[in-house]
Amino acid sequence: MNGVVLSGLHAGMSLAQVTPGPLTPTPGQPTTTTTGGEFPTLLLTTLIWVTLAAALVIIFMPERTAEQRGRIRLMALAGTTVPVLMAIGGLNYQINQEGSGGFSYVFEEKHQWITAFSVHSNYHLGVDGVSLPLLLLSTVLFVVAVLASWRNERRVRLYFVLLLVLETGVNGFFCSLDYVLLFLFYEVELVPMFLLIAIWGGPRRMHAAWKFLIFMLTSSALLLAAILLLAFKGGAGSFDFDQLNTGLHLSAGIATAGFWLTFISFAIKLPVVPLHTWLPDAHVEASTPVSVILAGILLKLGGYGMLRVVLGAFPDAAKRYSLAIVALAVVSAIWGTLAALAQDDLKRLVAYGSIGHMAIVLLAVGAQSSIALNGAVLQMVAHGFITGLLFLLVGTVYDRTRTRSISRLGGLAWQMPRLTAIWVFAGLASLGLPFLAGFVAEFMVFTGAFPTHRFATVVVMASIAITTGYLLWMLQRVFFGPAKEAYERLRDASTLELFYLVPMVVAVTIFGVVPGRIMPVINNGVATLVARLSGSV
Amino acid sequence: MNGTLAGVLGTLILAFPLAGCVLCALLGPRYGRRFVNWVGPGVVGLSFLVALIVLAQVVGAPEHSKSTTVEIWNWLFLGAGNLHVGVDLTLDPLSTVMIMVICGVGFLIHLYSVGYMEHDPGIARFFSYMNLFIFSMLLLVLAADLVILIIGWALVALSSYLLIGYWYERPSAVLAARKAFITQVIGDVAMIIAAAMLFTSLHDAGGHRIFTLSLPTIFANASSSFSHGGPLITGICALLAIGAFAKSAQFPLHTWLPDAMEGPTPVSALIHAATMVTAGVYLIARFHVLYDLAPVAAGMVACVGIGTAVMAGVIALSQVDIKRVIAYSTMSQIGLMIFAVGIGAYTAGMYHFVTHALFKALLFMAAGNVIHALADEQDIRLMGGLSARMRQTEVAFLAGSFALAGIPIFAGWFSKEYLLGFGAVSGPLSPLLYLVGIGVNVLTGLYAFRLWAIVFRGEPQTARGYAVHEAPPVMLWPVLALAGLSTLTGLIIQWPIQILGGGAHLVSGFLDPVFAAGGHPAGEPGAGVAALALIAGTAASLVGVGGALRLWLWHQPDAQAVASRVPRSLTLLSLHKFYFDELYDAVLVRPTRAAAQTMRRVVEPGVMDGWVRGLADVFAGLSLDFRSYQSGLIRDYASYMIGATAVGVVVIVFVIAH
Repeated sequence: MNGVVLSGLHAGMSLAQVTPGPLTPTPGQPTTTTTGGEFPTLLLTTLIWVTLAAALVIIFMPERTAEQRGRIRLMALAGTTVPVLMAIGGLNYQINQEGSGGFSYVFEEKHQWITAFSVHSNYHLGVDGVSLPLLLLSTVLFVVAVLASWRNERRVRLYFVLLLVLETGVNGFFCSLDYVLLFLFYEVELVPMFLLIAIWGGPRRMHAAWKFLIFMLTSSALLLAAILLLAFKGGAGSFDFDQLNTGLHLSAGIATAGFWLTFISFAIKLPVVPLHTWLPDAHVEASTPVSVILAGILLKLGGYGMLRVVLGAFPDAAKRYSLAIVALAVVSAIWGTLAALAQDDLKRLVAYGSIGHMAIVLLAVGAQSSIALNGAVLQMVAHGFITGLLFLLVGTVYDRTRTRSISRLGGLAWQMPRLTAIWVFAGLASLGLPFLAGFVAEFMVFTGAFPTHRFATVVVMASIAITTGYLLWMLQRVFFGPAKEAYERLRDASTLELFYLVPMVVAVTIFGVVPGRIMPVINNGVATLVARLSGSV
Repeated sequence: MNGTLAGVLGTLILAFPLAGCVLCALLGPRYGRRFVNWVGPGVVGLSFLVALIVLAQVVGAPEHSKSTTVEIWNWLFLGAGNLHVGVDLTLDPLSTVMIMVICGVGFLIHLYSVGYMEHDPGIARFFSYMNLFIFSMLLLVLAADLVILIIGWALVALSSYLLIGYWYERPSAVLAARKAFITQVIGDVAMIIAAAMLFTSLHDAGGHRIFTLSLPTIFANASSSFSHGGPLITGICALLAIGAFAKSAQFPLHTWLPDAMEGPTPVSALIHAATMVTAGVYLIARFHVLYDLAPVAAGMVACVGIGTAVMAGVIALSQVDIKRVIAYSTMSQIGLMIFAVGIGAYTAGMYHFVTHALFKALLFMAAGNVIHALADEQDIRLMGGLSARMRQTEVAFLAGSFALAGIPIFAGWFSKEYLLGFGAVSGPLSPLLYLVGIGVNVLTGLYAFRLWAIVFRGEPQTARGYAVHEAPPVMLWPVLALAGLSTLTGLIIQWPIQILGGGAHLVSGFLDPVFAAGGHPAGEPGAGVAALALIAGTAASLVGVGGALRLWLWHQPDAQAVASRVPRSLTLLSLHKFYFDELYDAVLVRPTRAAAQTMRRVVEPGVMDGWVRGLADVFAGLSLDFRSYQSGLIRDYASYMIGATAVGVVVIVFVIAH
């Protein structure tokens, strides 16, 4: 419906919004558009629930012999591979749609769901340029996580069931276009992650798992409060994005309350200093594949929530408090990178580095310009792949040396040249080397944020120099210098490891070398947000 | 030149080294040394052939169409009026000069590496990095979009990092690589801020915003976007200059260059003498339109350049590592180039860049021959007396030293005196600046011939020194080729009569049109001033050389004796490189680390996690308190009920009553 009007709207949206100014208002403009014609409309439903279906099958599979456990692994691999293919197909379809007019949500599915209350909720799924790349990231990282868990022999069945349920929650969150649905998926992801840390974690796993759970429940509670406020006080009589993220004009008080509730909720997830202390603990205790999911995807729920919910539902309040957001971004960037500089544990170093990188996303959320937000989406994808890769690499070192202490490692380049090469690659990608995924993203955020927040942007950019410092210093201490006798017999990368490391390297390179392919898709999603911020929808 | 041809040539010139990098990395380990020895230098040679075609095309092009810009890849496009980055290449006289030097000198150094790295097991990795460097550097100088230029800029830093730390088993090499890269990142950050400022402040003549970082568009609209000498353009130019200083090892971002000598000698010759470190000179020359609008920033650039030239020259006098002496001399000479582009003498700066690339690569490679012959000895106090056994290397080294010191008819003489001639007429401070430049000439003569005298003359200081052999042909021929070029280049492109007449010569005839467009290059010195400057400059060089020969060759008076009469503080300052490493360590490195450690040990567990745990304690305490009320005694519960009812009644009465 309204294809013609929408393409006109898109043309208006893609105008640069370096300093958001009013666009031609088109009141009452629905943001939904026709679903992707060639794909069945059940694409997203299938993508979300197929992993749960696989989990249900695995529950009934025996795990006594090695052969049976092997079958469980294959089942989990199959269950996670299907969504990847669908996400790639969906993204590819959108890339090829380029130039044929704008879209905001595609592959939409909308069914009446709960109508018993005075406000109704829909089973409403759909993706746009903001969620599609994240969906791709999420589905790929889950396959990688399954592969990285291949050697795990402890309670294999439960492990993969939890991993698959977790994927359903995450993918569902990215696809939800209804706040009830969004919240449910946000909750679904908590318990599996709690158990994955608590059962397969390190020595202090219970402490870390509980800390994670309490922080996340707080985040959920704040989100729930905001959703109820929005649905019952917003006056739209619906939980659906169609009503709540378009054309809704909230009173200043409700908007402010809703903004802070959702902002803090997702600030815990992102995480933003000083709400970040769950992150290093959870990472240190979690096993390698769980860390990959945690840093690679779960933090993105925070970033995605910032864009979709905080900016999408409370644009006016977000504009009003943009300075506070930017200030927090500056604090997080400096704090995260400085703390990373001081760490001796490899995992903690990468974890604190993540805080610094996600602060760049937060800077874009505060800057609220088209270019910065485009960069933020790309930064989330880039960080997902790069940090995922770094955690996998930490795992390879830990598996061989049984330590993650930087001061005890050294000269590993002698024993594992191939892994060292991938480490250096990941380190360079993480510090934003051109032609790798992070550079374009960071460059866009900085260019987009600079006009409105000069000082803050410069400070966050300065943190890049510290990032370079801690990464190169780490590489130097762990890999270079004379060989150590204790590590004389270490093996280089195994075939299985290369099997999941190399695709990550390829992904980081592709996003860095040809960002031009995916950016128009992202821009279509961001254009909706920018239009919302400028008050035109 | 038509666009298609330019596109094809530009693509080819970039594609060869990139392909070489990939081939060496992927197939090198399998096909072995012979394969990479052909591929590594071969691809650079091919690029050089393409560069020759470009040169012919640019020379042959009519006067008004010397510059061609083509887009070969629409890299990033977010819709009209939004961010757009294209891989655009510019082929004009300026970039042509750069690619000629990069590919030409680069090819000779690659050839030399075949011999120098003969016994190194990681040769495939080495040539892969070297080709990556050539690619990055070419991308930097060909880029016609600021984003692409910054990408090349950062990739150059990356290849430098990889090559300095090439011998990763040496802790000092890895440290030096890290230091170099972090300095480069500081420069990159400054460049990106400058890019963001340009992106947000560009207007066309009608006052409409322009969303682009395409260099031709920036230059075309510079005068409508910025007021002459305004704070914005001054800020942008100052930030770009910080990028240039980081790359060109200028004060205060210079400390990485001497440490970078930890890399293999061909790397020092290629990256840390001939090409990468001159990128800052190129950058300012390329952005001359902006610098012409920002005289304050340009003046700062000139002062930093001449200051670094003096400082590095003084330090070079006391260093004892053969490569570090040459590194400081590089820093000093680049200081002169930066000075030249700062005062608007862009052509002179680029001219000195060309000759310097030739004679400095030569000096490094000749030093490499010495180091190679002495089994990796780099301390000049343990050398000496090599002239009898390494005659050809010594001749080449002497040719380079003459060129460096600025002895008449050698290439460096033409370019340096031409450059200093501009200094003499550059503005209100010119007499002072010119005098300092003369001083640099004296210093150059001193340290250049100190090095030659100590290394090649006198008696060998170790047993090894008696048993050295001349370098193998593959290492000797590139050196001799460069020796020939260092001797003849000036004569070929600039007859002495022309410089005395102050008229146009080949270099300025070729390059001046680039800088004339939209800018205000410095005025040529008149014939009288030029002649006077030439004579004074040459005399200063000769004084320096003569002094060096007296002190270190004939020992009349001996250098030690003279040094003892110089104030102790001065010699210490030179010996300790003006204490910059110590200063940065105390002011930047240590406080940052201390802050990080404090955060990790105190603030993070105490404050950040503290409030979380405090909150948890509050709830735990509350739950303890409330638990005691759940006593299980009916009597207690009854009293709670009565109490609560009483409170409720009171509240209701008061609230409803009011």
